[in-house]
Amino acid sequence: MRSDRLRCIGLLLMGLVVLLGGCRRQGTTLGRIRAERVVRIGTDATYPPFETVRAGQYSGFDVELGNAIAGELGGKAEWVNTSFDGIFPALDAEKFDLVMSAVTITDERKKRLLFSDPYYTAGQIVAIRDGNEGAKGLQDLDGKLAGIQINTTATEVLKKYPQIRVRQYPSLDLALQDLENGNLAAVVGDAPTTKYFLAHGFSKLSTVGTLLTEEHYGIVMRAKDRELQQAVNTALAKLRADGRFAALEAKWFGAEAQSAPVASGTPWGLILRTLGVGLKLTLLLTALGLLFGLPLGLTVALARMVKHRVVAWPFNGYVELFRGTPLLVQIIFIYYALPQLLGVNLPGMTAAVLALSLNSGAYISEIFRAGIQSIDTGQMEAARSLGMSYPQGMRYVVLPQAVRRVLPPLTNEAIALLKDSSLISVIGMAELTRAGQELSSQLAIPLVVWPVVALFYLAITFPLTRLAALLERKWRVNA
Amino acid sequence: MPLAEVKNLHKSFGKLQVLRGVDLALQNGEVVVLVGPSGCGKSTLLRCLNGLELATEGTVTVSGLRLGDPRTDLNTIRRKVGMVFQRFNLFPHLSALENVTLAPCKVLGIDRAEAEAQARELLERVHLGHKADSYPSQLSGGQQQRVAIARALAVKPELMLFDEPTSALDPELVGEVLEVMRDLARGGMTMCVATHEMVFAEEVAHRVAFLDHGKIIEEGAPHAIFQNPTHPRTREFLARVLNH
Repeated sequence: MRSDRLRCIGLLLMGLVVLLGGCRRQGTTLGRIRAERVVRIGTDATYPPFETVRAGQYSGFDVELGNAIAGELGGKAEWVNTSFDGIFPALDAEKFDLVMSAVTITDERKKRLLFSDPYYTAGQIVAIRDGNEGAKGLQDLDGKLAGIQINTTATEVLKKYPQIRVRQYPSLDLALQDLENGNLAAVVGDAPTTKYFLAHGFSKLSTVGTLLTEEHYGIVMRAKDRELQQAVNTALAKLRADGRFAALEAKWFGAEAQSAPVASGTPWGLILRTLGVGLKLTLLLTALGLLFGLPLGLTVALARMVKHRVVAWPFNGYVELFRGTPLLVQIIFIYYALPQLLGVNLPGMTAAVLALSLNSGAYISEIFRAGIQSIDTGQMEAARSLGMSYPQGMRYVVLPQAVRRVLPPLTNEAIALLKDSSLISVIGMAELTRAGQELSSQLAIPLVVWPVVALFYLAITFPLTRLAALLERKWRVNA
Repeated sequence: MPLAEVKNLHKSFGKLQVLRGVDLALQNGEVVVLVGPSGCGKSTLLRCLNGLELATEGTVTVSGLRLGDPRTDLNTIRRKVGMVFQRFNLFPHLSALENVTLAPCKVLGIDRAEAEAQARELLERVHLGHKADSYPSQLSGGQQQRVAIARALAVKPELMLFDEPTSALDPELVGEVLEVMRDLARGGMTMCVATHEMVFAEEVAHRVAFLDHGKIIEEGAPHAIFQNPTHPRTREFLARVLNH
């Protein structure tokens, strides 16, 4: 099953969390759940038939089981959609109480997290193209190319077959697409999800052989929540005893579920609606990032030009830090680690806007600085000679010219910010790219979904560049 | 009391000594022309007179206020001292009219309508009333320099500094700028002009000061300097310039 992609970042943050453990809030998680009657459950809803989301409605085996367990704990389940990359740091940062996301119980994870009793037994399976009858399993694939989802337990399976070359994909549906396109001999993936995809989207593929591994899924909790672990196990046992668990298994994995009819035609309405919601969030994130990033960048640019080094120094440090580190790391740090440092929980939107503003502010400040410095010093001298103060000269003489001059790089930065905002998906916000990911895995039609995502991005960037070109032409006469 | 007075002025940039003990006084209504070879310190002397540069040693006093004194507001001084640059330094993003109204609006706090009326008058005075709405890039060098003069006059300075105002112009455009400066001098404006235009100097200046290596080595009425220079370096310089 899936494992955390950004393991080193996770470990780094984990270390930080341990270091800062002292400033944790008091009281047990179970106590809080009972008091507030809400169980917050983190999940990466791109994994049918365990968890998917459609127009805000969560569904899947994990989802229905989680709802039932929440009921047993005396509350209502509140689902928090989070990218699998960041799901364990988010658990540690108390963004939610449990993780139910088809998580395999492994010894390594047990070292730092608590697991419930296993609730589902899964394993890896091999998928091949129909008609490739020669291949009955991995033993027949020597020298061939096999695809897997990056950092999943399939990696371990393929280590036993060193003759097979491995290519890794960000998600299982993309690996299957490449298999269908004829670029791979096989895909090794999680059995239930692989079968789901094959039943819903990839008609030319089928699975062969039996399960290659035996893996157990568990519900994940923070290391300190032993009390909660016991309550969850009790709830699981009760669901098994009264037959509700078996009913869920039958519903999601029984013969009927496996032979669910393939949806006919492309659900354009759903695609456009879902991506439309993502587009709105992407636009909002970009607009807010620019709204704060522009004045921030301008302020920093002006501060860095102050003659006193002491004043400029912290601003130099800011620019170096935010230009010199990946935005992804900044987002993760601000969302997961900053709350530990400050002792306040930042909502996802706040953390996202903060990260995007700080990041774009650093770049924008350099654009402004270059623009201001490109203006002839005689301009400021002329302004000062007329009795204007330095700020007046800046505001009325230098900056208007600098802004005209840096319009093209500023447009570039705005477009870069728009596209970079897709990294916000790491904290589970369904902006355009994440919406595309969720949709693609749910419908198993990546070749339809991703071009539409691209068109949506173009629909924003194209008018933006046209507008910039228009302004440039208008200003050309007097610049 | 002179309107502006420079005493024992020294100015260095790092190790480079540009001015090495200059004394100069400008009386109200006086036109003083600074002549001398390139690099002799004319520009630096002018820039010290409006505080664009501050003295390394010695004093600069304008209408009783000492520049570089912490109690003196340089912005107030600069309002009293207009400056015209060799390369015009017009604001390219503003029209001719806006170039002239900017400082009165922002520095003197005059309302827009009044500033515009006054600016149109000033543009008429430099014979550019019809170019009020043109941008600098649409004007010739001579026209730009005349707008720059109108712009400097708009804050009603008591002293006007000209830093080689015609050096960057095509020869056929020099005349129109000198004409405007001549009018200004006739109107009684106190002026300090660095220039190589000897005919203009002889005709308009009350006094000519010859600068060499950061010092005024000869000073006097124009005809005295031009007809009978006493210092050998002045003679040498004039011989070169006048033969051109």
